[in-house]
Amino acid sequence: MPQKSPKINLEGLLKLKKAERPDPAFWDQFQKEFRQRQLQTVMVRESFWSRLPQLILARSRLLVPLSGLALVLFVFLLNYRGNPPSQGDFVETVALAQPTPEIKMEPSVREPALPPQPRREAVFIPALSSAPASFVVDVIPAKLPETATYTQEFPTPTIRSNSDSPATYVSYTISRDTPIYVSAALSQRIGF
Amino acid sequence: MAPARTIGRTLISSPEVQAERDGDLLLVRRVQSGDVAAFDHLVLKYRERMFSVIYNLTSNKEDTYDLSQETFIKAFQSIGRFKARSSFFTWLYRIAVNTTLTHLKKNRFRSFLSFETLHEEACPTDVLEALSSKSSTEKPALLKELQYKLNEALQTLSVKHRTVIVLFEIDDLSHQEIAEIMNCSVGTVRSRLHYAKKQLQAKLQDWLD
Repeated sequence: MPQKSPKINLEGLLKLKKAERPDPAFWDQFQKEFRQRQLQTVMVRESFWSRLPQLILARSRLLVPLSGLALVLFVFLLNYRGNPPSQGDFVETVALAQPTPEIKMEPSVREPALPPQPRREAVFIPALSSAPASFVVDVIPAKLPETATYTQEFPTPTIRSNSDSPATYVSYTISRDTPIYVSAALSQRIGF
Repeated sequence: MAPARTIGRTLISSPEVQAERDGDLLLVRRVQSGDVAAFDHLVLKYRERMFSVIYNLTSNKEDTYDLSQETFIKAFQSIGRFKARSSFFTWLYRIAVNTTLTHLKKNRFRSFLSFETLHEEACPTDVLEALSSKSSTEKPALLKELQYKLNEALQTLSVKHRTVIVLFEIDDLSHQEIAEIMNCSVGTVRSRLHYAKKQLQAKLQDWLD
């Protein structure tokens, strides 16, 4: 073929590509298909916006009560966050709701009789938190080595004692078991 | 050939070209304001040029059909974002070229040639003159062979070099326009064009002067 082939320049040869084109009938099909695809695109785009009010109306049976509920919840939360219950109120409420139990202590070894003393109370200073906690009091008699332990539900404003000895209460421990207080377990020592 | 091309390419900023751009922009504004039918005018105006550029890049008429449809659909879908920083024509070309390049990249191991009809009456005169010495029975066969060799040679070029040569030599775009479409400098376009021509000349040396 090289011997027989005619000689042309590159630009001229490339112009041959312009002669490669579809028949006129092709464009009718092209345009028809394009219109269909364009219409599909338009329908997809319009359907969402045109159907939006219908979608809202169709779900109004659910939307109205749900919106009302959401509004009530919102107002409640707003009010609650604006005025949270104070610590004092809480302690007072608990104190009223739960009468302070009497703490009875019976030492295993009878102490020698002492002259009667005025009744004393260990006054518990309300905790700074309303978190649940266990309250353990270690009662160590002043004169005898034995100890007695009891657990009191927390919070409680007052610990009463039947003991006549003023130095009976020597220590108590409050340990909170909520996550926020685990690392801040409190140990205190009180005396009279 | 060269002087005619030069004149054609210097007309880019001429009043006629400016009027054409304004006309396009007017149609674009109409589409943007919701007149879907206005886009049909733009499709009618540019469909052959878009088809041509895609076909010359792929050398596959079935792929060209799909990619041309995709190009116009993409343009229609994103016409709302067209800010007229470039002409609509350049913007549309960029969509066509990018869509085709993505397709070619995706199918680089699955390419085959499928040619469009070669209209003899539309063939360049110098090619016809060169073939005029041949008998009427030989001429169509030679044209067919020439078409095959040319498409085959184009497909051996890298996608970037092929794009530059197609846009410059076949679609008659200026260096500046090609640079805008391909998002590169004019210097890069010139260099790619030079290299692509050299490659083609080597591939088609049996047919060239």
